[in-house]
Amino acid sequence: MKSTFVIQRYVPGKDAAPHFERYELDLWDEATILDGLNYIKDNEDDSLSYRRACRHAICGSCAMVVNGYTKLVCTTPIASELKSGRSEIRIAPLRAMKPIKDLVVDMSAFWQHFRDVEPWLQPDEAAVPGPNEEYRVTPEQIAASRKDLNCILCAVCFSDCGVVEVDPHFPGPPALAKAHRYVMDPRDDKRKERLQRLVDLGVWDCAHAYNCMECPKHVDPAHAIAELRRLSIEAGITGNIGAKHSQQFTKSIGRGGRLDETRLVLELTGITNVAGQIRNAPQGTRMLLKGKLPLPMHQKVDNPKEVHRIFKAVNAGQQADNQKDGNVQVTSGSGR
Amino acid sequence: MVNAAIQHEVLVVGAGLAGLRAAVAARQAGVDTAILSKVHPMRSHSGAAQGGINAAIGKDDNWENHWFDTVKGSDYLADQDAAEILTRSAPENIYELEHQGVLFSRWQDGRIATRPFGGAGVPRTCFVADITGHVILQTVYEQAIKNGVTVYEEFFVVSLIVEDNVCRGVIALDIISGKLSAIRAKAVVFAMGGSGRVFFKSTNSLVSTGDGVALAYLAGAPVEDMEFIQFHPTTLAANGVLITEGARGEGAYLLNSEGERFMFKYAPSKGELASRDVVARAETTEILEGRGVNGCVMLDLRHLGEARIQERLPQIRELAIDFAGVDPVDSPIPIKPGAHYTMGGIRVDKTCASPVAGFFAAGECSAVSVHGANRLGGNSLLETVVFGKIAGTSAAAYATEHDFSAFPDEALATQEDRRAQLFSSHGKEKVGALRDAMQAAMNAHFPIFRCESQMKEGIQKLRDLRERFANVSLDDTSMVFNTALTEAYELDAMLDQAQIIAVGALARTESRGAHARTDFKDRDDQNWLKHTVATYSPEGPVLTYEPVTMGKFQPMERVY
Repeated sequence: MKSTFVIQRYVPGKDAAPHFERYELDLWDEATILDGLNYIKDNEDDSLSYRRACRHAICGSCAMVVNGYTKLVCTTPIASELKSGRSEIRIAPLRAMKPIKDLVVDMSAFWQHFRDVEPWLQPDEAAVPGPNEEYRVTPEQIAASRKDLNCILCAVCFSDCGVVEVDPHFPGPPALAKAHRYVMDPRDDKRKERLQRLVDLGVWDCAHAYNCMECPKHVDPAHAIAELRRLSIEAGITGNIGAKHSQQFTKSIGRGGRLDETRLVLELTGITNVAGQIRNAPQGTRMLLKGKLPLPMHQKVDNPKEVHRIFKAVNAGQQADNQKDGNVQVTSGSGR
Repeated sequence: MVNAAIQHEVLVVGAGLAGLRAAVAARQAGVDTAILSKVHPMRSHSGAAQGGINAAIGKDDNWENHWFDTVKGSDYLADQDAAEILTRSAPENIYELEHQGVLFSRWQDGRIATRPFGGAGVPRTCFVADITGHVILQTVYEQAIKNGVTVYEEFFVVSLIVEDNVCRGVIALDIISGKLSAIRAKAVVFAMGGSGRVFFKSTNSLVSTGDGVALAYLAGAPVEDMEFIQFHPTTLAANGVLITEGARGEGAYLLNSEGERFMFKYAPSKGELASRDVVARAETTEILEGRGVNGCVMLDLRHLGEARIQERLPQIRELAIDFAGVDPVDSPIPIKPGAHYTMGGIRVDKTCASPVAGFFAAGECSAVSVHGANRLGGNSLLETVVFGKIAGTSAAAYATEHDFSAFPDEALATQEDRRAQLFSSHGKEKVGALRDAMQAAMNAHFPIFRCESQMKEGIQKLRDLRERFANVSLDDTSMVFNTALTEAYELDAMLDQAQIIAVGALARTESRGAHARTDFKDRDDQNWLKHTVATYSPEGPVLTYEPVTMGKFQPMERVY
């Protein structure tokens, strides 16, 4: 099977800027993109540099941007990239991190985010079982963090995350999935401290682009982030703009079934916070000039009563759930 | 003379499970500890271990059964005192991991679940679905961070420095900058993994090149039982990727082209769950006798049902779909034996100390020896966890009792010269081609069934390859992230290991465990119940033999 690889090359000190080079390949039908890179390195140019190890999507080494999407190249067949008549496979290094050489990037910030969430069990020391027994944990309790366990820290989602791209402080989806894994661990005793830390680190900065749902290992960081936010409010960590925004947003929808953006901004800043409102004014003016400011008269939906009923039902359901959760903790029986 | 740029009391090389356990143990013993690895710790091959880790924790089990199964599995070549430590301390090590955070799969009552594995009398293998190594690796790495272990990521060790039989430290290449540095240590622990990549289509990671075995050998440490290479019975034909023994543990069948569950012809009571060497030979026999399917036999999981497969074996389901194009829910997976595990390694005692003062080893690069001639599934993760910790504790004790030794002046310059020579070479040989030729030679001449003439030819081929290696040149002569250079180092190391495997195999005129000879079909306890020990000489490995530590279990005929 013939294919053309167009690969980003860059050697610091030699190349002023990254550039692309073409390689013509003719490999077996089932060959993966990693097979192609290995073929080039072994047979055409051993200076081609990239990370790889296990070749079967468990070590997390070989994430790269392939035709615009970040993927593990070890499990991506060349053939699948040639579908829909494409003849070239364009391969670039992970985004949001500085290239070191060719397809290798500096991942030190990525690992720092990982360490920042304190990714280790922090149990109640008095409750640790003796040396010859385990914590009793039901399969259902494990299920809450089962998906997080699949994470191989490959940085596919980190590379595709729009917030990571613009905000170096945002921990990114993998660190937050790891944090979720420990927050949900029934053996951990630091849920509230962890949630406070995550709020400080920026769990509310996720902008819901959901790019992280394209996970090669079926981890669901978007869900993990949503859960962490919900749990942080539940834990009473509400003195932050994220929680306030979420609460005011919900309130606004509850009132008229449709978001009242102007009022949301006023309320979030604080109606009586004159200095804050003045600070917002220049941006408001710019938005007005660009035609981005919502209509001054907020329009409710046609039948807000329907929305009120939905809110009532959801709140009732939540209360029931909370009660159930309470029971689970008391009896330490089967979780949800 | 203090010409080492970096120094630590304990330096662990290799950040897979054995290395991380060693580093955490040494750090907890209160000494300054660093761990150094050619890949980020999370990329280590321990993470690829799928099926589980053995410990006699069930109420119908006890550690002595596990001990016996291990010794029998080893074809009586394991040192029984070491195997005793392994199996007796298995439960406490599992519970320790669990307390550190490993989320083992559970029974409904909340206790750690176990599944059956090959060569074991009862279900004894603890697991996290089929990502056991992955989850344990992450957890132990997290413990290393928590405990303040210094981590050198992407540093490649090019030389182990020993003088007057005392270990001084290592020379290591910072892969990112290209800088070579002397790293001085009171004690060095090698936990650098097995030699799998010496073979073609190994289950092993591309980084499992056994560098540690070769570096220790070149520095004068003896290397033991390297001829015993485990071929895993179930690997994917396309690329050698592993399909866990846990699949058979969960009840999968092995079928030949006639749809027959052939294993009962070879292992009347255990069938598919006989020891790995037995199953791999049976599959090979079926294929050689014409009952294979395109060079494979079939692993049939269909009767387990989708729910069970998805719960217990989700990763291998995906691997089968990705690499074999079959969903095991609907069709059997074509599989065949593939090189998987190095039973031998750096010779160490049961404290993980080598005969070189201050030099320790643990995990797959070592031979303590708990696996002897054939390792049981589920015992490799266990070995890394148990003996990694022991190695770290031993190294910390040594470091506490000893001062830093002088680091030889010329050691760094020697390695600078070696690299300069590779960079300036205009030879016509390429690393990729030589590596492919070496792997092909090993698969052709040192496969599951071996014989003298075939092995002698193989040894000649390896000799030729070693000569050709002298004419290797690199396209990449840059400093930053030069993986052409590290692959050349790896090939250099693999050629040494291939030679040690080859001469050990030729010399051993019997069949034991994973070493099966068509010209010497039987085990020969009279002459060969002993460890092969290879020591470096410029002319090639010098073989001597050392007794096996026996104990409670006398050699018996091995039937499953």
